[in-house]
Amino acid sequence: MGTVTEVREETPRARTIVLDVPEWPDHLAGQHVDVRLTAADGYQAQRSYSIASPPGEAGLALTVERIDDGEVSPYLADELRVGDSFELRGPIGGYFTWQVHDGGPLLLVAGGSGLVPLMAMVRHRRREASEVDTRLLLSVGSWNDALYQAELAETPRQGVACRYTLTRHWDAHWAGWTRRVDAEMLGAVGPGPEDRPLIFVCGPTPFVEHVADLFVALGHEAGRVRTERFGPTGG
Amino acid sequence: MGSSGLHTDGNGVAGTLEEIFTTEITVAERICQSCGTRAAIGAHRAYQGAGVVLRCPHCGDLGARVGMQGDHHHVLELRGTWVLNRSS
Repeated sequence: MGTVTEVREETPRARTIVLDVPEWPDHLAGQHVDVRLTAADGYQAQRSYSIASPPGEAGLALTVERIDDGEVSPYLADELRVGDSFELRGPIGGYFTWQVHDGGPLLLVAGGSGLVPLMAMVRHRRREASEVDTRLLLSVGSWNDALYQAELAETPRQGVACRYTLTRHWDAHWAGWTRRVDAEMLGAVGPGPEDRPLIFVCGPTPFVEHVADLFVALGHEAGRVRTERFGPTGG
Repeated sequence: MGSSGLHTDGNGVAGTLEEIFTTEITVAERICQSCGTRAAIGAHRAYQGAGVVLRCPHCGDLGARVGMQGDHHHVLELRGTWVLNRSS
């Protein structure tokens, strides 16, 4: 069971829930938890949520984006209050994880809330005072959908190059990219295949497959491109 | 197999697989019996319905079929060669 100790609004559609989980065995950056909600009539719904907080930090943070017709996310994103508790299992997963000793360069590409597990990696890197060359590319519909804006604005000072592309709405002042991720964009973000970066791509399934295919076409080793996909029936 | 949006991947079903194998299994690798691709379980396509189906990320051939009968009873069909490394 996890008990909510703090709720932070991140965007109009997403919020971060910080939990106290007794005897949490700690986790690796990139892992997730399975949240199980049980209704009064015994009906159960289970969903996976990526952990946003780095290993070793007090308070387990999940960032949840509301999916309007979802079974679990409306409860987590709208109704849950400090002091509430719910059942969770984890940490889960091992393939889509990064530890400082795995090295780099590190190349992180997120579609929408696919940023959450990658943020745990960025936070882990900072917490461990790692100087691994790290590049982050975020693809979001509009600036309003971009998570952790204030924190990511500070990352260049920590050696993390962060760039955005907005794919649906942008205003006249926006100077960044305004298109789907393409090969030219990945080339500009770097590092190239000759530097053999460790690549993590997370987002909706079509986004992840598109970006992973681009990386392989650019000459990156398939074995160094790790992917995590969100389901169509999420929520 | 086309790459439709109707699947996730082995990471998304890691909790279910861990229940069955009683260990973290997404870092294990599987060699496809059809195309020979060697890929981590986490990289496999996962289709979820009443159970879970894993497919080769390259050719889509069947890798595993997991049926669930209640919380503690699973029926498992594995295909291809599974490579489990205890040290990793």
